[in-house]
Amino acid sequence: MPPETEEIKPHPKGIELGILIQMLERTSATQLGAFFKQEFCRIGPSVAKEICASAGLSDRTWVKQVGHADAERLYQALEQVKVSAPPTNCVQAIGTKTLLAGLLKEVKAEFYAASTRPPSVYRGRPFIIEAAIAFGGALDSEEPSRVIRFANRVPLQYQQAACSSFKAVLETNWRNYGLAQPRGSVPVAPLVVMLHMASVWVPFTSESKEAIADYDEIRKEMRLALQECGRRLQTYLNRRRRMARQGERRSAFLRYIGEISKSCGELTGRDAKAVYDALMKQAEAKTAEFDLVLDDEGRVVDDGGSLAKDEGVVIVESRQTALTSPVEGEGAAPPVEGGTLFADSPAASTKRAKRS
Amino acid sequence: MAKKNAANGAAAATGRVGAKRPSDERTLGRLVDLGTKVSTESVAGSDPFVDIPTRALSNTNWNAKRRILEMGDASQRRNLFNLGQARKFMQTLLIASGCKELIEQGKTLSLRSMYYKSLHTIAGTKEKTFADQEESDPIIEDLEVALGSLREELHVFASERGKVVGNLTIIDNGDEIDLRRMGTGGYAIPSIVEPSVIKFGKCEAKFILHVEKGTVWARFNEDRFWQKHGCILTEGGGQPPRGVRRLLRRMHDELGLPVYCLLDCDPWGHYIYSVIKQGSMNLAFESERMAIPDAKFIGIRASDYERYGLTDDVQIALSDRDTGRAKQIAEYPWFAGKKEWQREIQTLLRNGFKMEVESLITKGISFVTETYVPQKLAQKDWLD
Repeated sequence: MPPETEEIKPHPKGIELGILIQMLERTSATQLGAFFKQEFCRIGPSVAKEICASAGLSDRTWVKQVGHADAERLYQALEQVKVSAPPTNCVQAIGTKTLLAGLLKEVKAEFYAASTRPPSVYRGRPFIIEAAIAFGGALDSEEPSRVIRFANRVPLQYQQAACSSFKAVLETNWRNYGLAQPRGSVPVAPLVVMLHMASVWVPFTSESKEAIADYDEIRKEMRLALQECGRRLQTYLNRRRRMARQGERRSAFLRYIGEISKSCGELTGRDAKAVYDALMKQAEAKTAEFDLVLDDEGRVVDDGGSLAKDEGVVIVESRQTALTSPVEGEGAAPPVEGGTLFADSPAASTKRAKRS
Repeated sequence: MAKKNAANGAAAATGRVGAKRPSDERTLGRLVDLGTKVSTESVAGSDPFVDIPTRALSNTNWNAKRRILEMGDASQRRNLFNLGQARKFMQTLLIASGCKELIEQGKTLSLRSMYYKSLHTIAGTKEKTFADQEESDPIIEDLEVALGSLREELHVFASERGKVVGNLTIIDNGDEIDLRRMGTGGYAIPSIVEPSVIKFGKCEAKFILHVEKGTVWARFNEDRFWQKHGCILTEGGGQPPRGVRRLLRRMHDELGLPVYCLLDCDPWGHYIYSVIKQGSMNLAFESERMAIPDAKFIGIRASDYERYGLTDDVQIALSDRDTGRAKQIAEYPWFAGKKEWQREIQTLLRNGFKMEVESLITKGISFVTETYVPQKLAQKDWLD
């Protein structure tokens, strides 16, 4: 479990008129100035004075004497006043490691990436968006991707289409990352997307708490989190494509050497074995060179290096235990079989073997 | 395997079994040299390669003095350790070793049989050495130019096409063949017509008439044109294969007979003439023994439409491709300098239609053999 969060008072931008009236009724403060300082965060004496003044009241006005009309004016003043954003130590993210561990446990894929956005604020309410994706492996590449939504660590099961998280997935251009995405739809790829919103106040569309309502700030953060994951996926896919190409190249040479040495032997009437061995040696040397070239060029596209160092990424190698560094408090992650695409390519596995 | 293929393959090939040729020693030497070169390079740890002269217009030079096309010096290096070339490199060596076996056994195979001879699945894979014959034919041509040995010298021949009749006796591999007594079918011109296989006997012909295809040839043969006019009548089935071109050249050289061509009035007909006259781009290295710079083009001419009062019915509209090709041909250096040819192609383009030799049938069944060709020959009305 993530550590306990700090409690904060309401932020002036995040309340509604009814709540303000309720707060006025329940407060222990006697005068308006004290009420604002005591019940809200980010309001000091001068700001309190400013609010009261613009509502036609004074900070010395008795709270008990504030009527409904006054409350309405105060509410408008709160809307207009300039105050700094609320503190964000009140929200706590799940964290990339835990997100990845969760996905690893539930989804058999070959590539996992997660990202946690820095805290942000909508209507005076702090929130954090987290995204994670799983790609490839046993996932179906013909089906639309699955979107798993969470709000304050609780899964949301219904009204997917009305939910801001789902819309953010649609809105993201997954084609940029090498996936197929029909217009106005989720990508059709072996992909699972997970989105989590942690906030002091999750804006649900209705009391049933089924879907997150649309706020520009929230959608933007969701999109950014997804894009972060997408970029890592792209890096991974590019690398995989490169390796497949290299593998093809290598196996082409190896395939033909037998025929060539045999023909040479028939032409010269001499032993074909010497030519075969010499060519084999050359082929290995050449392909080793290709590896080097790839690693050097890695700066352009990326080699495994930066992904391997990235805490928000897990790549499940074929026949290898996932997550070499165990998740805190979880022990070693379960071994996952995956990477069927990789298993097909012998070159890829040789290359990996060399790296590790 | 070679024995089996030869037996199954073209029957004509098996007739020549055991025919050792004077060129064999030389060709064999070149093949062994190729193998040795690749082996040495491999063992020395360098990337083995074969240099293959480029067979394209860019590497074809027009020798205005000799009036033939010659191959330039440009060549392409084919490396093993280059992904785009590895497969072709392997195929080149495979064909080379196949040819060596053929020469050693004194046998010949057709292009198609050669494809089967070298065809197998590469050990440990599902990949075949050749996907189809289209892949093996160019490799054989590559090997020809790379070694500087002709296809015939490698004991490979193309499918046979083209026929001949006329006032000539030839000796084919020891069998005397009287080309005056070939009936309606004619004598099929073999792919290899070198002096070691075909020798000339008695000849009473005064010229050679080469027509584009079998249908026209049959017309001339049925009308006994060659008998009446004392000539040799050949046909090349469209673009004439090497055997036909080589035979024409040998008859032209050794019997001193002029060659006249009766081809369709379209860019393809013009190009057939061009190939007979100065050689083809693909086989520019063979022009020297194939081209007949003195060959003449007697028809069909674009102007014949008006001259012989042909009707609209014989017109075949020029397609965009035809037009493009005609312009391309007009720009070839060996046509560019000839005013008459420029005029001919301009007329063709202006007409906007092409005509086949058969269009003359509309004037009478034997119009072409009784009037058209004799008239043109008498008036010396031809293009050079």
